[in-house]
Amino acid sequence: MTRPVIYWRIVSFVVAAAFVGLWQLIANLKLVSPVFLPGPDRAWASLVRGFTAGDLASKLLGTLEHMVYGWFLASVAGIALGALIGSSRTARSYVAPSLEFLRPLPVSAIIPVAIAMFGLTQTMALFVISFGAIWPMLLATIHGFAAVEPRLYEVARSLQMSRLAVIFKIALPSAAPDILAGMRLSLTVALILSVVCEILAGLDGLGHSVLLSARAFRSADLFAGVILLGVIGYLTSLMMSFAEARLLGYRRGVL
Amino acid sequence: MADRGKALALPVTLLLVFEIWARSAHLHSDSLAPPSAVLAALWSAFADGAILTATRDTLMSAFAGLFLGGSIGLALGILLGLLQPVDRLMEVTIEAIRPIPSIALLPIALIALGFGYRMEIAIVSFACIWPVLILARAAVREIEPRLMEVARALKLSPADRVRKIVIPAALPRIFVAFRLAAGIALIVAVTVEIAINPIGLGAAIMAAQQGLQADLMLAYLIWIGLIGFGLNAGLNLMQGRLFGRAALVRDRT
Amino acid sequence: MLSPRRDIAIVFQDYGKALLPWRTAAGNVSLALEATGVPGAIRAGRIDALLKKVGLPNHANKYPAEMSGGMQQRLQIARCLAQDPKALLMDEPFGALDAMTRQGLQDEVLSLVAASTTTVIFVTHDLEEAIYLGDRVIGLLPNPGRIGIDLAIDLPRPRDQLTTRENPEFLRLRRELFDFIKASEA
Repeated sequence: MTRPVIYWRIVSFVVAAAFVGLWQLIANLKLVSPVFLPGPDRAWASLVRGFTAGDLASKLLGTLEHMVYGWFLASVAGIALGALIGSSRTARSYVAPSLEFLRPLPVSAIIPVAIAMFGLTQTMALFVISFGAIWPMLLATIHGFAAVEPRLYEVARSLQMSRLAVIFKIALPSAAPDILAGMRLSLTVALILSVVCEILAGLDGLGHSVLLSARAFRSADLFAGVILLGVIGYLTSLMMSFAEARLLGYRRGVL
Repeated sequence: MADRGKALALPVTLLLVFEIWARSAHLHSDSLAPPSAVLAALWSAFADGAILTATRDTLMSAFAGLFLGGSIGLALGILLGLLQPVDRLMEVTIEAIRPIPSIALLPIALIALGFGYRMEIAIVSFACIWPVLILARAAVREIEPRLMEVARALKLSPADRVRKIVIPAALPRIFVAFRLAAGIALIVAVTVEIAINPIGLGAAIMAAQQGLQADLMLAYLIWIGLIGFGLNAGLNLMQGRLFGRAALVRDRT
Repeated sequence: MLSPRRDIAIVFQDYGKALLPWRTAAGNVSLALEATGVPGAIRAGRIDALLKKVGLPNHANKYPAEMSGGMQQRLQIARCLAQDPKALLMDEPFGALDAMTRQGLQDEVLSLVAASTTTVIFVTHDLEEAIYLGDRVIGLLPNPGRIGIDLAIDLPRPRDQLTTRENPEFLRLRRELFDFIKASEA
């Protein structure tokens, strides 16, 4: 980082802190009823209390578990299916149109069907989360595999590489930028669906706990939960950026 | 023609196989119903008008939220795109708020606004701000610098500059932003209804599930899918008509 | 020959598309070694030697996007040499390069060939390039594809960009090929 960038960053933090100060001021002056809007001090206190004395850590873990299991299942299935469909022109011409038709479907609409099949259970949540998270990855992988430079396949043929070697050494790395973009989108979807499933099925997690806080008008606990969900969103997106920087570093010459 | 045949082959085969299996096995299930029964349920839901009311509620919330959130996102996006220093000052604040999953605001909206349209619109708005803000900011930043020089040479007022140069120049990409946001708006609206809000298509499909009417539930599922597909296709068509093929770029946020 | 064989390597004209952008120079050469089943332990040494041979000894860790066109084409040649081929097919390999880079690479191909037993089949539209590089120049005629002219080149080796091109025999061969092309287009 060059010096001016750091200065801007610091000033930008100060601006963010000023917004938090403004929030505190509004809460202190009771411009909005404290029932709806706790100050950042009360939210922070609730956050600390939740972790030290309460069960916020286990709620956080619950949500992370739902999200990561569903996302992982979706990643494996999405990339494998996408590779299968994407590497064959015939399969693409039969399957891709159906997938394109299903793509704009609001995936949460599958929740009632999943409840009818599995009841209000963890299995239902896992099914819904992985079903929702598979789409971005599946479509991105199919697109990535279909867009591999044809010349590279010729190079592979002139080297008489095996089919497996072609997939792992040519097609997958070539599709990696698309797949990573899909994985990023899938993580967001997985987090949202985890929260929704927890709310609907009363599963142990932040989604259920913020709903209970809202019902009991415990606004400080509510804000603490929402802040924690924001932190999860922020950290997962940071992790994906890190993975992209590591895996796609070769593109810096192009960009 | 051959392509269309291939495209239809898979879904038609699946539906036929399922229909035959469901009939021969005398299927009685809370979660599945033969396609013919689903079609019949869809037809009767149209006949008694229930599906039309629900569709109206969902689309009204989605579009109101899209309009509200999109306008805020557009205004902020243009501001941040034009004024680099403001963009840098706001960077941390925006990075801190943006990753909050829209659905996490549901309980806050619930205690502040109660059940109904207002709460749903608030959540949809929050979700729609970000794609529009990010894409509009990028679009404004990448306006041909010559055009901005022209604006300066003509001594246009800031308001005129935005109205006569910035918005028209960035319009194709702003439309793309709204197209993406429209998809998000529908998804968030249905999700809020399924999770908690007792109006619209989401609430209707949940009611069908709780009433153990598998055929009606699947009918709603298909209808929601059709609306999603229709909205997407319609906006794509509009984009092609308004801005030509050049604007049909693949966008990712 | 109808299907690809591993003992015949192909150097493509569009070097930018034929290299794996996510692998370094060393990694791209390694691809051919992996495909031919060279054990991992001795790959590194072979890669170093090959990169040195094509004049890229200090660029092993660069990605293709960080290299110039001439360097990318050298890298592709190194990968092809890693196949240890009996024959090297070069399809207009220098077509997309500027004149100076092109002459440099011509001389390098000549010295690579002199130091090995590999047969090179070099496709080009540049008459002088054909004469300068070749032992034998074959001109093709279209519709149906057939051999139209077959010249033995008896210019002394090693060849030199200035003296060879000024050699009266060089000029005579150029004239003969030029007349052939003109006649075939008429």
